[in-house]
Amino acid sequence: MPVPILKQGQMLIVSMQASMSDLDLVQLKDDLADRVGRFRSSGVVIDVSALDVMDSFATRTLRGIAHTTKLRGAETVIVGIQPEVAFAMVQLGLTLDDVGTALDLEEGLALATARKAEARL
Amino acid sequence: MLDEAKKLKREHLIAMAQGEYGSAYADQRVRLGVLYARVGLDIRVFLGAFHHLMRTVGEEIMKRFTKTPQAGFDIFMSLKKVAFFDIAIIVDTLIDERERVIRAQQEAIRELSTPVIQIRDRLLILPMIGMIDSERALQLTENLLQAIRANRARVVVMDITGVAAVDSKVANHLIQTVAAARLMGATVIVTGLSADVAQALVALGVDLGRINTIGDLQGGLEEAERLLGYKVVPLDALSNAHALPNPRQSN
Repeated sequence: MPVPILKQGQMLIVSMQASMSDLDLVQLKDDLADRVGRFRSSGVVIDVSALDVMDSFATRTLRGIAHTTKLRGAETVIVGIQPEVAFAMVQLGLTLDDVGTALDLEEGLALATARKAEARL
Repeated sequence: MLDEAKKLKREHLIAMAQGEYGSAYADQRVRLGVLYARVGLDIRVFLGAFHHLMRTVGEEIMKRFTKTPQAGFDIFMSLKKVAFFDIAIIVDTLIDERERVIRAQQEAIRELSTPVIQIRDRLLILPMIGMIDSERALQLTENLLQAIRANRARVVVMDITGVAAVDSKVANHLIQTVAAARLMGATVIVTGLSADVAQALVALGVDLGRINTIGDLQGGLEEAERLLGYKVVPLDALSNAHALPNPRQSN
């Protein structure tokens, strides 16, 4: 099942579902890379609050998305990582060091906007 | 309590000579040991008193066996075997009681010293106190991550002034906590690294480069306020700047 990508002004918003397969993730990555250019978006916010597991593949794909969209001119922010998920990820050494993170969608949108403004200065 | 101790001791001496050393006998020893522990009897005092008792009993035995000292000595030796058995049980009980107290205290420290406090909107402070072992470290991290979500925190000041020693395990744990908090969108500022702790970490070769560290709690709070866009100004400066009328002078 493909993940819907919502457009809100300059931002693209993705809400990840609990039942996503690896294939869906790859599909999402391709779709986002395409849409960022098509809509001339300045930011992407990916909400993962529905996920209670984040494996290395998902983490790597998210990082890949962040790097790809960055090259296409949009900041990616991951939001809504649950406490248990965050701790498990850190123990697995998946720290998403170079990707922006925020508490929830609202924060994420603010962060993505602020980052873009910073980059324009 | 003294009466109870005397009664137990008398029963003990009688039981010692009766030749029946089953679990009832051991139970009675444990009861006596618990009583000793409750009054805070020192193990050395107990051993001294027991030695004194054995000497008195031994002298009494030898007096009655003046003609056959070998037989008297044999009897004393069998008594001594029982005595060592008793000592083992009672010392074990005393030590166990002491360990129980230590465990209870550790539990109390653990519960007391893992508070996560909100001091401003979206600003949490986590004062860490005492020894940090793996179990406590885990609990601390869990508490902090839950609190970040519950209070919608954006900045956390982790103060380790009260942590006596930082080894590579604790340092590693600090790094993990900071990384996990960051994944949830919160920035962690670590404060209160003493000179000794800082030197120890450098000597251990722990890379804290990616962690935002500030000397003391005050500095950490100031930095946190800056990140959140707060500015703390004395009231005087504020009223002068805006030329607010002083209520005392207005009439």
